[in-house]
Amino acid sequence: MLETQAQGFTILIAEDDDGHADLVMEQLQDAGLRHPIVRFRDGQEVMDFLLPPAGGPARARPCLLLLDINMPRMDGITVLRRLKGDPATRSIPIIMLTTTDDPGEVAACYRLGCNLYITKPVAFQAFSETIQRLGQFLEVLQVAAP
Amino acid sequence: MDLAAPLQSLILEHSGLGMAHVQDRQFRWINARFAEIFGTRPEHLVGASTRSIHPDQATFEAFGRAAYGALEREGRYAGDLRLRRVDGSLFWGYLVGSFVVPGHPEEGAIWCLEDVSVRMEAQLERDDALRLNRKLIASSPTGILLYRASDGGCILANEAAARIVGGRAEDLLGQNFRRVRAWVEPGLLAGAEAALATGSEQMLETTMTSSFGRVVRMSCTFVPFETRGERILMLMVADVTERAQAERERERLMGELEQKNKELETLVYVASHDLRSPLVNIQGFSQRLGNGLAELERLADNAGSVAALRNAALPLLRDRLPAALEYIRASGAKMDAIINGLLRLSRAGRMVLRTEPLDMNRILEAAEAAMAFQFQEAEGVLQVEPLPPCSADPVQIAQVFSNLLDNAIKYRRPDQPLRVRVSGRAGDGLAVYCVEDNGIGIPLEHRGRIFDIFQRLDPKGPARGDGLGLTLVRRMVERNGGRIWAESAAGAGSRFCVELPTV
Repeated sequence: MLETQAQGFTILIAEDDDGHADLVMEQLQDAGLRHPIVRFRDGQEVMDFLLPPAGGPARARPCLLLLDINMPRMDGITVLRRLKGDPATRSIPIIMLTTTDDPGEVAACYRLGCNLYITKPVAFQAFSETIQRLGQFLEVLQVAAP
Repeated sequence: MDLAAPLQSLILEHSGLGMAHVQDRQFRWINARFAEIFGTRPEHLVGASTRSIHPDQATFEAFGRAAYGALEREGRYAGDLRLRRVDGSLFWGYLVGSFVVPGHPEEGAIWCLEDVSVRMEAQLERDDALRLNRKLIASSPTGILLYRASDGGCILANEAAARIVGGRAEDLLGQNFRRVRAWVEPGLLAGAEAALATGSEQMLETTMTSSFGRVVRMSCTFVPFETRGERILMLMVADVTERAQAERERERLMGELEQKNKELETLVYVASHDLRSPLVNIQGFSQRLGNGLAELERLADNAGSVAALRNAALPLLRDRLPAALEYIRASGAKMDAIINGLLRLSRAGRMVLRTEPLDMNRILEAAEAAMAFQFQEAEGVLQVEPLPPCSADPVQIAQVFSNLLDNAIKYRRPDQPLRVRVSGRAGDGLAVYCVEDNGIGIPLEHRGRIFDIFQRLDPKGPARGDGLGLTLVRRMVERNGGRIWAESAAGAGSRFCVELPTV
């Protein structure tokens, strides 16, 4: 516990595809990232965690969200809009991590306030490099407490 | 006689009216005007046969029979007839005759004559124009109806009018337009009264159900005018049903083109996202398999004993490698499902349409019968109200409604009995049918996406589908020239509305 506190922040991954979640977490760890990682299977789950209904316990630690777009129950765009539209969660850094590279969707996400938009490359080599670079970037990133 | 005989003689000689005394078919005496009318002098006609002033023998004999018959019966003859001048030219004469001594034909007859060619030609022209008018009105493809403004009575109705509004022309005669109920809703009565009130033409295009139950799109023009002190309202009506249909067909084709474009875009999106997603897994886990094999090889090279190798390799062989293989297999299956779905959608778009008038009550009856077991199993009640007809492909529309009913069963609330109500209304060339349920409903944020391809809103929800049902439903409705939309609130049930053309 002491170690994770020292690492600074928790990485939240909202990703409906088990394979993608597995690969992303593996690559982040291969990049040497030692932050705790919590995975959610859809947008609703991550919303329930970050903005619990009926005044549940507030988040204790600072966190950062890797957000997929196409998810059941609540899609990533809706999650992004809600989190960036709520003063309580606006400061959480959000990185869109999705297979789509549609320019309209990229622009829409930046307009809604996402901090970074990354397309998951299909080729493994590129995928691995992209996620590892992301891991190294996160390693040096400072995230403010809420 | 007060007048002296010479004076009487002068009057007869100089009368502006042609006069002749005829006896035994010969002119015995004629005055100057009579000779002048035939382009000659009296002395040239006196003694001549009366046959000479008739165009031919047949008309001469026909006149003789008619005229002397009338003289003997009534003592007088009067009539218009063709006569011949001495130069052979023909003219119209008005001839009035009587016996010189009533009851004594042998004494001869006295004939008065006027040249009435000008009046007759004008009248003939008028008759011709009238005949032409009647012909035009009778054979015009535009319906023409004349009504008296005072009492609203119909005084003229042509065949086309009868054909368009239904019925026989003679049934339309006498009908008071202010009392025709079918005129109220399509705005015809308002148009008629506006034309009479403003004194100017009124045009409107409207839809009316003819007395044969046929739905007719009509272009109507009301023309008020006045004739001999009577205010008349003319209604000209053209059947533009086919034109309206052609316009709708064009719109449908445009919509189909747009739909095809959207579909292509969807295809590109699906290819770029939905197919990419499993590909990422195939690539990633293939690499993991490869890494695992390399690891196994390294272990085999370095292992001191079989037991050591076995211990080191087992986690790889039992968990890591099979898990990677399973991801690859599942991703392959997912890609296959996506491609199959795209093919089904594409086939639905290529099916040949067979549009015909549909009795929606029968279609829902059939759907109800086919799904009776499912409703019974779900302890659901399906209530179908009387539905207006529409015009669409029977197979596709049956599929649309059985899909919607199927959805209502799938997404019912577990805590209360399912109730589904199907209702419909029609107007202005369109029929709208609503399928309402008391199921789990659709949250607002999903409303826009439910018809999109491969959108399964909640994989942990009560039902699982291929993410194609509503996409196919929308596809079929739009191919039939209609629209579909959902009105719903989460927890308050869903209401799917399908709009289809009635003609």
